[in-house]
Amino acid sequence: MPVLRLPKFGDPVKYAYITGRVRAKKTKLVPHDMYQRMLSMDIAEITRYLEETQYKDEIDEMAKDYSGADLVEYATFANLAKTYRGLLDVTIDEPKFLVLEYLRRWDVWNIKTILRGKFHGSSDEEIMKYLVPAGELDLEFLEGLAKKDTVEEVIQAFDGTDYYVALTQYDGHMLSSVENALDKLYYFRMERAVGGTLSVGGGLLLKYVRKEIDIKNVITLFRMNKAGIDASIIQENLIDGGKLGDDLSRMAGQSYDEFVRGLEGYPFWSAISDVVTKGDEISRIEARLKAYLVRYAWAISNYHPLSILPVLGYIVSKDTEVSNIRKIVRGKEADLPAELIEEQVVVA
Amino acid sequence: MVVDIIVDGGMLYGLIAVGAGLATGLAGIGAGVGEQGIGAAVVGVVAEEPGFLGKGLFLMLLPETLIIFGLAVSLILMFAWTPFV
Amino acid sequence: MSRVVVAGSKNVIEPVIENLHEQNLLHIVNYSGGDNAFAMGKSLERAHEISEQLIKLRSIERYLGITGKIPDREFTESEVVSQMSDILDVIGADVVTTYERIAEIENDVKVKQDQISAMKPLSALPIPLELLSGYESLATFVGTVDSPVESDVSGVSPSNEVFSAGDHAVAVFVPVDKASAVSGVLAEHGFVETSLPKDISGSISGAITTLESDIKSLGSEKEPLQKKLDGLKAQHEDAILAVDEYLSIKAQKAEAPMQFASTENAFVVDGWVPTDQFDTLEREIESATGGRVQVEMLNEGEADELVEAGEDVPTKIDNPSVVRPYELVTRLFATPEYKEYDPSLLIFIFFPIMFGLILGDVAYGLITMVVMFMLRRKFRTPGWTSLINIVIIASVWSIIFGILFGEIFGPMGLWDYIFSGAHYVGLLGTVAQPHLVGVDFGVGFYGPLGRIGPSGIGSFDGAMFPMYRLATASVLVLIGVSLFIAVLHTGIGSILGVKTELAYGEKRHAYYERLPVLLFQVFFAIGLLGLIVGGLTNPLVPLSALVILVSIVMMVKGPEGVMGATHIPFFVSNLISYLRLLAIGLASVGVAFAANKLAFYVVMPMLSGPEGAHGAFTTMAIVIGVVVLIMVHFINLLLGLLSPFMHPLRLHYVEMFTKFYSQHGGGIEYAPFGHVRRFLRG
Repeated sequence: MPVLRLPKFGDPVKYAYITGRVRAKKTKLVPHDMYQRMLSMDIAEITRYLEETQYKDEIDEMAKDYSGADLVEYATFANLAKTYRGLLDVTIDEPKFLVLEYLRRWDVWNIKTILRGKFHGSSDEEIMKYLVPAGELDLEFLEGLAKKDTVEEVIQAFDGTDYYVALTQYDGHMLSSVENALDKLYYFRMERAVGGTLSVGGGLLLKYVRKEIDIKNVITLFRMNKAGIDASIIQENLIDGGKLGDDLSRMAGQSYDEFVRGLEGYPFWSAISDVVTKGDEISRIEARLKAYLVRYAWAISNYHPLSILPVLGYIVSKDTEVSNIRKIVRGKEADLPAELIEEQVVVA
Repeated sequence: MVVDIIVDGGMLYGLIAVGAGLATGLAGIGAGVGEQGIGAAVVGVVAEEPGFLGKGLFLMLLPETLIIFGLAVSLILMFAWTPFV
Repeated sequence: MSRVVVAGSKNVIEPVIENLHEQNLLHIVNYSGGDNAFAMGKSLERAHEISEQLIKLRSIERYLGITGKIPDREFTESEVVSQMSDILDVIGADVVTTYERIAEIENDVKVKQDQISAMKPLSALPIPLELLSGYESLATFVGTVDSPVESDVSGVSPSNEVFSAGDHAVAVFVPVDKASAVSGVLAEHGFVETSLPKDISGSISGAITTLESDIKSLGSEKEPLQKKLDGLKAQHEDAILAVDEYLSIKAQKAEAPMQFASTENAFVVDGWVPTDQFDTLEREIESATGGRVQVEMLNEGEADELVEAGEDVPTKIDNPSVVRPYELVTRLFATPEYKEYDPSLLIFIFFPIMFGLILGDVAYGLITMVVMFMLRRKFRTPGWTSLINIVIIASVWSIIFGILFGEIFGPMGLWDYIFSGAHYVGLLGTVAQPHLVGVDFGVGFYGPLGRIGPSGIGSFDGAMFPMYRLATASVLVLIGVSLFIAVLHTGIGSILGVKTELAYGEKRHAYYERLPVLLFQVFFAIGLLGLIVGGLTNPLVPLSALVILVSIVMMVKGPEGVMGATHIPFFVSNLISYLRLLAIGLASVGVAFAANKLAFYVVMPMLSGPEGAHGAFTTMAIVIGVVVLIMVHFINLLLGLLSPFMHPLRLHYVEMFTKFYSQHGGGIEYAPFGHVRRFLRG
């Protein structure tokens, strides 16, 4: 039960501006029933619809170079980066610190993208299109990385930073171990930086991040348990730091039915109860779990209206929106049936 | 005694003036504290959504009545209880 | 508003859309699924092509920096069609290539500027650029250091070549096998490597000059290109916006079916239309399709059911043209719901009076009016025009109140001084000898008001408000006026509240929530008046006490129960809140008074020396005094414009609207399917 906690005097006021702002931004997100309608539009119409919303600048700017699904995809990425950078620009003090700490995940994303690009020998331009410079590493630095020739050189560029230890796990053949290590590093850093230094605000960030880790782990378990992968390998892929860490790692390697029964009673159960038993596609379960996470962020921000949580809620909502749009557009490009696209769209 | 000194010595009016000042001043501080958070939030929202200005003003000016209360007390003190102009 | 259903077979869908769009009458309700018999409609075939053209056009608009403007000329549809391909392809391509070249140039310039700033510290090095890199057996380090490195480099690598210039620039050549050791040594000296351009040869300072001249020539290439873009913009701006409008309309029509419910062969449009316009709508559609559609008006019961189910009835805001600017104030708060009273008219009546009461100065009012008339020529968008019109009407009232209060640039005392040489002027025009200046109401005009307060203390004889203190009395009068306005204003709000609740069929809310508030506030004020006029024995006092008691009982019996009575402090504070009308006005008078006093009684006499103390000021003193006057009055006017605007706004939003307005979450505005044509001739 939430206990009424008296705020430290003057402290929550720091969040008043940014929470007001993100709550207004939230109302400008693509409304949920629009996804339904997008499914019956073609790509050009979707592009034009987006051109009349907050994606106007990016689509106008890129329309001369790209078209179709590419245009939407790159424009949404660029808009995502701009939106997140914008959040950092309009925050100060504690909120800024916490937002940046959370947005470092885009640093991880960018490093992964560059590594993957270099690993598969993509061109610099190709890699640049997928970068989202929303974290600490700015576009210039990332551009420099993208211009390097090999994976090793990219890794070398991080010498002396926290990322280096994780990156040196690269064995020359597989990127997955490095990617896992980067993910773990991100959460480890967050815990260390936030948990150690701040009281109330950081605690709320951690509270949410723990939940996020749990949901990520549950999704991993769904995928791997269904594929019948060995328990020890699954456990290696689980991220530490979640609230349900022990419970979930015990579930690794269980048979699918047993695993699903074990999930009953957890808070996220109600979000997936009707789809898991029918043995639906994992993608639908994944979409439901992600939607649960977005709802959770907004729900707990009602208990702490002047805190980092609404900002997190917005960051997650925006991220969800962009990935939904991309799923729809890419699905349309590949001529997937509407039902198949719809089940992957996250509607919170 | 003390009361006589205060009343006859003219201190009464001084004290009334001080009281009137305190009434408005403290009320103003209180309203200010109340408004800082609301104001910050409203500015944040209006930056995104200029149409919210009206409702924003409504929310922001709510605590302002506090000053008017203080002022009403001051006015009564100043004009009803003293010979000041 | 009436709920209308238009149904027809798919082969008349285009004429129906065309006709609906042209009529601009039907507020379409989006079909959102939910009925198994119907699917969401799909847009017409051509939507794809139109969308692509629009995306292209909008990106051209962006490169040209077109953001919408007031139309200078209008186009017919055939003009637009004939120009469209030219704009989209020929001019568009031209714009894109020009823009790309400009972007390229800007990028080049930036790269070159970066190179220059990197090489600047090294410009004194006596080695040509091509010799600084590209060796197989030699490692080179070029950059800046904090301290001389020669001796330390020799320490780890006996065979070396170190060039340095000035204190910081170095170029170190060592065998490759010593590279890592040397790099360690250099790091101790704070070595920062400079990345040198690979495609330039010759001396460094020469390279910098070349780069600088390159930048200049790039700049001269960019200038005509930029001019060309500006020229294209000036030439085609209206045409491009007309094409945009034309395509937007076509896209709107092509995508309209997505708002319809549809089956394999038929479609159904739901919507709202003003009741008196239904016949026109029906006749037009039927004649356009040769009677092959079904147009039907739902009866009230069915429409109400839909509203119960959560459908919003659109509201058409319709006011006489004088009141129309005040719709802005209403919309700022919320759009009225269908059954709610549109408060624009009330704002039109009360807002300017309150504004005038607060500002209340002939000169300030005149200045405001003149400035607003000037601004009206500049700002011609609808929002600004409304705002300016509001202030113009309000400034008329402030002139009227200014005459009543006798204020021109502050209390009339200023003019008394100039014209009569009176030497003591008090706030609000009070003077030591009031019978000589201003209006004298005579002893006893305020009658029993003087009885308030303790009597017999000190030198007081019980008469607290001797009439020679006009200021005191005016403040009290203003308190009374404010409270009177308060009761009137909130009272009207409460009456409307009762009406609105009855319109929604909520009798309990009307009689036990809205009505007691009205009784409470009115009789609270009457009771107060009775108390002041006649003390506790005045018959008004027990009467009001009784009514207030009844109203509290009603509140408790209301829908909120005992919680209803907890709002009482809010209702009291509602009334007191109107004292701001007096308080803010008083503050701005105070500042104006201080300005006059500062100029005429402090600055001017001081600068004029002892002999000028009684009116014979030197020219110098008058000039400086007038400057001071203008400055303080200007600041006061700026502040004095802001608060008379904000505070009446608040009185409407908080004190009045909470009684009746927007209690059901606000409505949506009537937005019929159609398009406002600006660049296209109809």
